[in-house]
Amino acid sequence: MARISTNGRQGRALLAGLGLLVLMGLGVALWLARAGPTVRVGEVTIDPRAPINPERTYRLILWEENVVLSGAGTTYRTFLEDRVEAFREVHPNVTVEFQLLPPGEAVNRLEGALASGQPPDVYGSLSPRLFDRNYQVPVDAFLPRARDGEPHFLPAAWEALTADGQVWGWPRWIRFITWAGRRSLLAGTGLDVDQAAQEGWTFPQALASLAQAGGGQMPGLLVHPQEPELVRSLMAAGGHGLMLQEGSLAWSQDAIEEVAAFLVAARQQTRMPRNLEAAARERVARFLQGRVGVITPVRPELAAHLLRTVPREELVLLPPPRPEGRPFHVPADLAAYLVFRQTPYQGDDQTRLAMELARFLIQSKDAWVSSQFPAVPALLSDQALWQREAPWPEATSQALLRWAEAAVTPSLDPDEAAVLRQMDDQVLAPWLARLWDEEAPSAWAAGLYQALLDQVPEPGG
Amino acid sequence: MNPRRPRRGRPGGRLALMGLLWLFLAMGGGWAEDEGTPYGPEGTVCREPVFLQLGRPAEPHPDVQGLQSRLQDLGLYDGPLDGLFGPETAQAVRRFQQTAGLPPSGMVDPATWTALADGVVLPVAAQPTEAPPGPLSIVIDVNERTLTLYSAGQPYKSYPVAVGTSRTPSPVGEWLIVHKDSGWGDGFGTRWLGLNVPWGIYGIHGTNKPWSIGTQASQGCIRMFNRDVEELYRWVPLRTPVRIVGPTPDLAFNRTLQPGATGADVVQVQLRLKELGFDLGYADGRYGPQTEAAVRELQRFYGLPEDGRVYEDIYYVLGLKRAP
Repeated sequence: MARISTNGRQGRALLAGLGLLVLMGLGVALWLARAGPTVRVGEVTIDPRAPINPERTYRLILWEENVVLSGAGTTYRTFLEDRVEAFREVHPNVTVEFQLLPPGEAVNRLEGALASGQPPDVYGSLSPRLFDRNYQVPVDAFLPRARDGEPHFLPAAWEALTADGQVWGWPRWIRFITWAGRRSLLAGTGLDVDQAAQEGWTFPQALASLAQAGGGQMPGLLVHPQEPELVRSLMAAGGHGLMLQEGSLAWSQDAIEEVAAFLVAARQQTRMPRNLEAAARERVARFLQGRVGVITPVRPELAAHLLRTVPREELVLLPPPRPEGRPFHVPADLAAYLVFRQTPYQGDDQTRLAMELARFLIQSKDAWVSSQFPAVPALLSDQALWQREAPWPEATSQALLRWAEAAVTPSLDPDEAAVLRQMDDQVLAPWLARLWDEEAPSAWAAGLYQALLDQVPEPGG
Repeated sequence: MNPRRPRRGRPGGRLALMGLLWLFLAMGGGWAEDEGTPYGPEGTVCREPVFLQLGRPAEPHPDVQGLQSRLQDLGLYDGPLDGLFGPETAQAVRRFQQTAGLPPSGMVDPATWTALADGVVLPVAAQPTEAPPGPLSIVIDVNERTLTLYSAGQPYKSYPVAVGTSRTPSPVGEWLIVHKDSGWGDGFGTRWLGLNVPWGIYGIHGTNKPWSIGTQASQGCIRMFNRDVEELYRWVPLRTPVRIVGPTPDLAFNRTLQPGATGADVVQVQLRLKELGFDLGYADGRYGPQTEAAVRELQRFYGLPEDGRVYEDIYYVLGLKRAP
């Protein structure tokens, strides 16, 4: 009995212990569910749900790369001042000190600040990168859960900012590099312009149409003959990416030759002027005067100017053409707000507030900025506002949304960006200058391919 | 050694000399940049005719129009305000000279100008009258015809001014005061504050035609009441920034601009670049290294051929030229 009695006590104690363990487990689970995951940035662990103290005075530093707004009736500085003031109305205990950085200086300034551990809290970038894992804070843990599991952002924009399973910035918009055409001059050339704008067009379609543009009485196409973007965008449209893939050359010699053959044929068949250099300096003038069918490459800032100055029924924005039989790809760039911590660390509430500022800045009014370019706002809830503000017809909005699904965006790797810049200046631009009088695109392609290989390795090489 | 062989200086030395020359010119240099004219009332583009008489000047002139307006206010002239010195104007001048005790020549000479100005009742001087504390700058609004003095970035005091006519516009741009002087006399009033405009000697000055203040009357300079320009003269040091804002001048924009160029077209390019957020310092009409760098940035942003020069397409993307 005594044994039985002892066993009974032990059993009860065991049960009580198990119960206690279960209770503790539940407590921990509840606490974890309430606290949520933390974010590790360098030597700092950040609680994304840290409360913001309404009694404390905060100071946030915002740096932005200047957005060139052409003919928009306001400057980007004025726009940003208004946005910052609107944020302050919501958070009266926060001071935001912002600097608009001149283009060309901005990234150097940021990299210098990162080297000293003093980056801004928020950085508005037109070419977002994962600059420094010790300071750049991933944003996905700060994103409120979406109802019904619907995404908040354009999937292409969100993915473009994703590396190693984390998202490294708040996406603002995706912008596109285009070919700008005059509808009246492309009419009667056999090209369904609206379909080409929606679905893209092929090299043979482009050559056939541009050869007939303006009744064959004017240049069908004018290019900037040394602009690396010209080749890069055609390669991207052909599905060959933006030259590099994980540090290796993503272009094949055959793919380069395909693009070279197209450009040489366009040179011969579309009545490009003899002196391409001189003509490149009057591409915009000729286009605005209706003296050329299509110009390219058209960067977003130039497209913004055309959108303001060419009648909306006349201007048609086309994606770069692609070789026949290839899937639809559109080269694009991305804008995002990046969030950083500093040394010494300013606290989880400061980081949370920086995230709040970035989230505030990407909302609503930012859709107005994206409507100034051939661009799509990344925040899905702002697409209706964007469509209302846009200076183009509804069909163009639909085309741009289609392009966004097929967007090819740059890598987040800052080293890769540096290599690309170097390749542009030292390889692509000088090689392009030699292309236009080439009789044999294959020889040119072989030469360019070898020159590229001299700078970056082949995949797996 | 071949004595006829040209000497080749060190490039660094040449660059330094060019830099010094640039700095000298940017500061006004004490000379008009266009002709090398000595700095003074004789060299300024704003020099006004000292004498007006029948048929002179032959063309309509804002000073004649101002004179007619003044004589009209005095009840001595009821002809058209056409700026032409015709018989009616000459007769009115004679009548004025008689009432002022001057020889009735019908010709407006310095004594007549002085007498005409004597009776003008100036508006009450604005406040404050204490010297402003902070770093100073000046904004002249051609449309509003006001000169506003800023202290530490805040408006401190405004003055009425006369500005250039549509044919002789005031130089829109961002300038520095590079010369302070007095005693230029006649139409320049009691004080002169010279600006570093590269295409001529322009400045802010007093006047012997106070009735013209608030109108478009000058050859491009900024006229103030003598009382006001004397106050300003006391307060503002050399190198004070002066921004003149006004309508875009009617220019052709058909020349290629490159480093070394100067002119009102350069100012317009610089102002547009600044509006778009490109940093280039003052929009001072001088195509220097900062302007060249800003143009290169613009060209890169827009994907245009990058050479640092302003060619036809640049005028278009800056909105200075438009397709018909």
